[in-house]
Amino acid sequence: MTKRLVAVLVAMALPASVAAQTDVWPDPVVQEKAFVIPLWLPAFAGEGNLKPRAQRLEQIVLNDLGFTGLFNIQRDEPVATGMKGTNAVCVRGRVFLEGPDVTFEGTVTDIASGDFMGGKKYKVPDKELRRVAHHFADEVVRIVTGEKGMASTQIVYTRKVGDKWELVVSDYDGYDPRVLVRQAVPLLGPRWIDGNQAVVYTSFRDGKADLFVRYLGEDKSRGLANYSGSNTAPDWSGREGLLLAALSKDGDTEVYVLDKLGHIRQRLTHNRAIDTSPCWAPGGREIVFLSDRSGSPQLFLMERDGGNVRRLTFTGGYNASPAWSPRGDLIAFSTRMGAEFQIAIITPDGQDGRLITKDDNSYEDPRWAPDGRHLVCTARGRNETVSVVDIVTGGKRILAEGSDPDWSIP
Amino acid sequence: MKLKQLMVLAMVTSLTVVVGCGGKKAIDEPTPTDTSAAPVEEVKEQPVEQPVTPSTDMSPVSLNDVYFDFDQYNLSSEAKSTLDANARELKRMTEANITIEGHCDERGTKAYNLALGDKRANAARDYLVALGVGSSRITTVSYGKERPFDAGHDESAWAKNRRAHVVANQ
Repeated sequence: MTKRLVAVLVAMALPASVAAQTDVWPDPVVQEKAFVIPLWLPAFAGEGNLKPRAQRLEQIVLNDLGFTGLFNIQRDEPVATGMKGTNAVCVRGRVFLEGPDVTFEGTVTDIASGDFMGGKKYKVPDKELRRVAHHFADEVVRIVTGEKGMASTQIVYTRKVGDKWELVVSDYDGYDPRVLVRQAVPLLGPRWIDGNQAVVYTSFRDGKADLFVRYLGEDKSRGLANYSGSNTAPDWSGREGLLLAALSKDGDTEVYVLDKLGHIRQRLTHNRAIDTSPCWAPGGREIVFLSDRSGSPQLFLMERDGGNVRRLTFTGGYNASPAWSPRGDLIAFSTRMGAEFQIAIITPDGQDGRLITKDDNSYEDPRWAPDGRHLVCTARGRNETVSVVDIVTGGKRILAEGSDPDWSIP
Repeated sequence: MKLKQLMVLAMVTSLTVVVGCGGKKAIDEPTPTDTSAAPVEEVKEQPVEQPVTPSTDMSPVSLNDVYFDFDQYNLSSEAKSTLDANARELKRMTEANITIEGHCDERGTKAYNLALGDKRANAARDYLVALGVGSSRITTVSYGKERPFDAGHDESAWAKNRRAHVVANQ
């Protein structure tokens, strides 16, 4: 299996040619029969009182592997004709005692040849059971596809409970939500920073939009940027160790580069228009951002020093919230249609763009998963939810009630 | 006139006291200005809940909000008339300082609306300063779409939320 797999699948989401006859992005393309690897996963083995642990591990691994969209998972013994001669794999797991320690061993074999492809053995203290399952699922993805799995990543998001705003961190699948901050004034736009050890967010704690940072090991947030005016829209570059932000300190909202202590390194935009929602390219050399300098909110690109500004989007009257894929090949964004938003993607050269969602819900503020194939966003239907969208299949799943999510990229 | 002044003072007092409480509580609308094109608003009677804090000048400041078109931050002629009246009031009440809050309706992204709210508040401030109100008397803040006056999802609600809300500081 090749590393190109996801790149190929993602490229399928784009139109072969774009003929924009109306001022609307082309419709989503759904790959229902997206290329997948057949994977047989029989029940994990476990004797006696180890059986429940085996079942829980199996359930989590199944969910993790299913989430990726890379596999066609079978539970029953594969019919010989079905999987013979293909690249089908078998994943097995068993739980046993090694001395006093509950131990889990998982293996991956190639069905056609019977060859052992890889495996791992773990001690499983009860508190670590989910972590072990996630780690093994990532191992399966790595062994079979060469890709890095994302089962051990996390989501940060906000939610409104009664009249209080909360900042919440959970596993990428929505499990184990932990409230980091609860306050009586608005809190929004959290982003993972600094090796995913901390979250930066906008809060009205001091009466206006200021940036705060909360390290996960600590129980208090620290101020990061409280320049006069609004301090908003942070985006972190791990490669650069720098933060982009939109500050209105100099009269109107402009894009700045800050360090992780909040000191301004550089001002990037000098324009009477609104310039906001900056997002680093994964290499750190380019930035995509929102500006209404041409008369309506559109996406623009610039180099990391603010030079070579050029417009990216020319379709639709309101394109916002850009997010650059960690693979570098796509930019996701929200496009307004009527009173609501849908998610779209575009290539950084501006040549190919298409909707990813198109239904009665409103989808805002997409952020990429590490696989460059899934997006997490705020979906507004009857409720406001943190939802995940697969750009290849169009599949969606709800993770939690809440909004404004960000996904930790390892 | 006295009742109107009392109501405005009560609203101004309760507004400054509740700063820091979030949520989608509808905030009582101020007395409408007399312009035929401005949205018609219900003036809600409100009992005086808080004791009046004595200040150097006891007469209340009568200030009104200005409203904006969808996605716009330029001042309409109605908005300018409202601000003309606010400027006259502020020149009369030379002790009064104000905060101008910029607000947006929900039909934009959070980040863009925070910036748009700043534009609206600044547009109102700049107009008052050009009329001679000292800029040190005016603070601006943007709430974007985070604190709507009307939590509804139709044009009547949206129109109420696209505003620069002018509040006398205590």
